[in-house]
Amino acid sequence: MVDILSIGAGATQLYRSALTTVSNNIANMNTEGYTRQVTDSEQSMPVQLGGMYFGNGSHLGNITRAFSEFNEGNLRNSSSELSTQDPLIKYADRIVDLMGSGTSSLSSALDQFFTAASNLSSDPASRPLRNLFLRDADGLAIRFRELSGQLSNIEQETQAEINSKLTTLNELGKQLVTVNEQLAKKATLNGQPPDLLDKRDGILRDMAEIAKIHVKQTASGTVEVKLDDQNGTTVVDVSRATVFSATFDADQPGQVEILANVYGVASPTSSVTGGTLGGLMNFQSQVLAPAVTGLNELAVMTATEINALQTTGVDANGERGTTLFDEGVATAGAAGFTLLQSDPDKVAAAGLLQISPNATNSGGAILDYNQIAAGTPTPGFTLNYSAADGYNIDGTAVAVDANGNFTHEGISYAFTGIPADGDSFTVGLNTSGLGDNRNMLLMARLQDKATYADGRTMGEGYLDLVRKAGNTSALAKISQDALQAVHDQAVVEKDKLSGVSLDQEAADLIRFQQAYQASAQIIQTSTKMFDSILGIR
Amino acid sequence: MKISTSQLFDASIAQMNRQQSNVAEMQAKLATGKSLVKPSDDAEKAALIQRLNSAMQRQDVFDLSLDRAESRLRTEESALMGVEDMLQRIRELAIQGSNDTLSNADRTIIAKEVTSLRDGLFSLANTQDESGNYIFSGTKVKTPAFSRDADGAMTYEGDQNRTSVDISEYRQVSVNRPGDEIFSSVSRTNDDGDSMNIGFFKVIDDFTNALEANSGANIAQGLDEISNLTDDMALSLADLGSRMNTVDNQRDILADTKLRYQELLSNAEDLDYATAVTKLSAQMLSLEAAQASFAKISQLNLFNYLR
Repeated sequence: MVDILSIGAGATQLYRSALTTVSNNIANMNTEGYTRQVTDSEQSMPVQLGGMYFGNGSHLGNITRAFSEFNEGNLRNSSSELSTQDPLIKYADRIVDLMGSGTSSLSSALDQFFTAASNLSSDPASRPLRNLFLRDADGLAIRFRELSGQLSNIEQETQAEINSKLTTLNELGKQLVTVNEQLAKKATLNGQPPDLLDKRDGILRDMAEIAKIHVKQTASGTVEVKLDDQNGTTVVDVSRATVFSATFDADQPGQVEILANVYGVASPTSSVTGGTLGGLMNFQSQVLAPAVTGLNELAVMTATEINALQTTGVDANGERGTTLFDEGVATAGAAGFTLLQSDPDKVAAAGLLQISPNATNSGGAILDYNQIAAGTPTPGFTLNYSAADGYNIDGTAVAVDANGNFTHEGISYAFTGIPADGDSFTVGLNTSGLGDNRNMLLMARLQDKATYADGRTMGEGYLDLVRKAGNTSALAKISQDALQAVHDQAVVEKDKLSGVSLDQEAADLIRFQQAYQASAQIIQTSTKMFDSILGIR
Repeated sequence: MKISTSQLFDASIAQMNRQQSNVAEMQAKLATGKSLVKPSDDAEKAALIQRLNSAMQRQDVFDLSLDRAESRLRTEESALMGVEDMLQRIRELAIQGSNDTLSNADRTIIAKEVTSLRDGLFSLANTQDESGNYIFSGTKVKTPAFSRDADGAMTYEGDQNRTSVDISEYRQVSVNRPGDEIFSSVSRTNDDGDSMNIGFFKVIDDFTNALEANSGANIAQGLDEISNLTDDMALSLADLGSRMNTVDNQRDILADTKLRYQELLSNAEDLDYATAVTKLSAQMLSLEAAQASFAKISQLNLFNYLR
């Protein structure tokens, strides 16, 4: 026989549980990672009486999470992708701000240097101008070193951040193993405590923010985590977490290798994509490395070009110039860009050669030389011309072409006008040309020289470095906007199911309260029925 | 669709934060008057601004070079004007001296004046500019252009190099001419029929000697040669004038170029206030709307009605 007292008692128990769940939902509405819990009620087994079945009330089925594995997976992946962009933008912007601002950029130092060269070229004998030239050359060297130092600071910061992210990842791995061990005690997912599953999902979300992960869930709710996809390096399996560490190549900026350490053996990991870690590695390889390499390349180029001119000119003492910048820059990069000269008289403003027509020359021809390659020895000779035998140097005939050009000992010369019979020209070191600015003019014109193989000047090459970093950051910003929308959508989707809405809980509260009151009324009724029976006399 | 309460709050807060940062950014732009607060706001534009700044600085350098060139050329001009005046006077004296009616004594007096004029020419030939450089010595600027030995003979000590400075990316102007080109020599055929070059000062000295020696033929030759020197000097002055013209022209071109770069730079760098202010009011309006609507919506809650 169906017992309405037990139906009533069962229902009050059920609705008390339901009210407890609702209260728990309300209490946890602001708890990070909380999944809304739902009370499942089940019909009790009906009772057969003769040919009929009587319903036997309801009882508490289970308290489950309003949860979708699909939504959670989407959220994890979208947060991996979104958090990739953040470090990329943050650090690329720092590089752009460093290299692109008017005060700290190389452009202003280069401008300053060429301005000094230009000024000196208009009065090469001036000692104050020579001093200014040296000061601005030092300014250029300092700017190169500063930029290089700042870039290496950024490199160290990102390396430290990579290490700290790996530490967090390792820590999360350990926590997940603990959770896995707890979960493994029960055979089915339904039997697992909801808060433990919330904890598990929270850890996985945190991991996904660090790197893109692939999650495989077993029947009991324990998870296996791999990097990137199902073929990736294992991060956590049921009972063991991998310890990750990073190594950086000191000689190659931007080279990062992530090592996985299982049972004390470190081995390279599969690729790390996505997440903050992926973003940091992308920054190192896509922004930092080209910027550092580009700056070093420019440093070598600048030092080489300026030294080449300085060593093919003549200083104020009438001696051939010696290198202005340390040639060690070729190996040390921008960090080794140093000024060697401190004596203003050592600035080689004058052209290397003095070509004097003999006082008795009557032809009026002028002999001049073209730019001299670095390392060419200083020549010293007399060129004679006779109408009968042509040109000779010390008796050796010299071939002068129809345009008046010839080359001797690696230097090319050009005649303007035609010499007369018996004319001669003496070529030698320009020992007295204090007012000669030929070399300094070339120095000032370096600003416009197509120094790069593709025709860019040094200044343009530098601005390209800024632009390149800026482009990466701009692209990342566009991606970030798009990925933010995707992530927001994933949050909304998950929230639709798993979030706590006060309105909904209020409605449930009323609903279950009423149901509880009604169930209590069933007990009351049953008491009254029983009393009626007892009251028969 | 269900929207959870915390999601409602989070989304509203995120939205207001975004709008707040937009307002702050626009405010920073208005405060600085620049369209770019940080280079990272637009790296492309930041690079353009730097390139334009470099170009502007370049033009300033050319401006300075023009100033230097002009002052150099003015020094040369005043020296050459002086030389021309003196040569004119010598030529007048030469014409006067070749007058047959003059006596020996008269010629000696003329010779004295010529000698003193020659000394004046000598000092002009060793003119220095404001930095103390000898302007007619070629590139040996610390060496006087002409020296005088014990006999009074003068030698050119400079070299043949010309100095030119860049006054634009494509244009140079030469700021000096070697002294022996300006104080030019003349060609004289001597008694043997050979032609030889006679230096500027030697011509004048020979003329003085001819006056003192009262040699009619030599005086006539001196007059010829001095006329040649005067003509050469006129050419030198014309050459100088053309260089000064170049400087003046370039100055006008440079002013135009600078103006153009300034405009480009201003376009790239400066903030369009009208647009910016309008944008700011729009942003402030939407921020206020977000705040007001949040304040209202956040009060909507079923619990308010459960009493």
